Amino acid sequence: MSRALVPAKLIKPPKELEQFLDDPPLVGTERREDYDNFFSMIAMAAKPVDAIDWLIVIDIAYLSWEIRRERRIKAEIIKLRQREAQSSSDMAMMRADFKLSQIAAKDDSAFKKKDWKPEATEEDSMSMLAKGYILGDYDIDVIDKRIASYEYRRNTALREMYLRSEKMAQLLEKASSDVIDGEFAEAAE
Amino acid sequence: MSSDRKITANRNNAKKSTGPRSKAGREASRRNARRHGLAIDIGADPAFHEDIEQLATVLSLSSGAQKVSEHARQAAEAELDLTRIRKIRARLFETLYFADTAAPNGMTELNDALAKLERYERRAFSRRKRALRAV
Repeated sequence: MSRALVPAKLIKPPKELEQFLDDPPLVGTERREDYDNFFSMIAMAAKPVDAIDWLIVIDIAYLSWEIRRERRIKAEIIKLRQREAQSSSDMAMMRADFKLSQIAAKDDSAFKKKDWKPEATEEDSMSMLAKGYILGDYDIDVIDKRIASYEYRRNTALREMYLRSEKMAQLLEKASSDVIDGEFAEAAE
Repeated sequence: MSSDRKITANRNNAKKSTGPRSKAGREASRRNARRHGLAIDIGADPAFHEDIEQLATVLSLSSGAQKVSEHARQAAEAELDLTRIRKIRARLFETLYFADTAAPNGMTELNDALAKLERYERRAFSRRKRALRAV
């Protein structure tokens, strides 16, 4: 079950950046409201301070959204292929039943025993899931590669954020030291 | 350094593959770069000049610079490139996947198109990262 993300308040990129950003690239049944909530949650956690920080936050939100979309598509593909595997298995069962009825029509003595039934070949859901994976292996592989690529870029963006906050911490340290040194210099004069 | 023999062999081999030869083939290959326009440098497109300058100014101000630097321009170009690419990606999903999920080749077509787009996005992303670090 998907968990609804509801931030304490909606956060948008600053006005000076907003004019360069188009509407979020949503597709299918994706809702703007969900994206805005998702974005606000990320922005609230990251607390961007300037335009460059905002660009990185926008990237992280976008890439996370793409990863979420790709995972959903992957799940749908697996379900679809699983159904295909199930229906081909059902078809095989029907063909086997049909063959048996043909044999019975020719020689009903073979089936005189009341409890004679063909061996049950019902496959459990795990094996159907495995067949689903096998049938959709190419698409699943391609999607996995795309997810890995988005994750790589998201991690890069996170690292940039970290480096920037470290740089900012150094600048703040220097600035505060300068202020303190300045005060000492003034006091000494 | 390559030997003379190797250079001659390379030149002879290159003569064997000089792209499409027929008129129709040459016509088709001429349009290759115009399919989505991403191969064309966004900075060379006058339609984007104003946006690039404005975004570069915002980025420069954000980093405390007094003037718009070349790095800020490069970052702005890459950012606008990323926005273009992301829009194209959404359109691809919309037309090839969500519009008709029953289409047998929809997923294959989408995968191929996204793989091509991925190259451009990766490059734009790296360009922007380098430029932003230098701003």
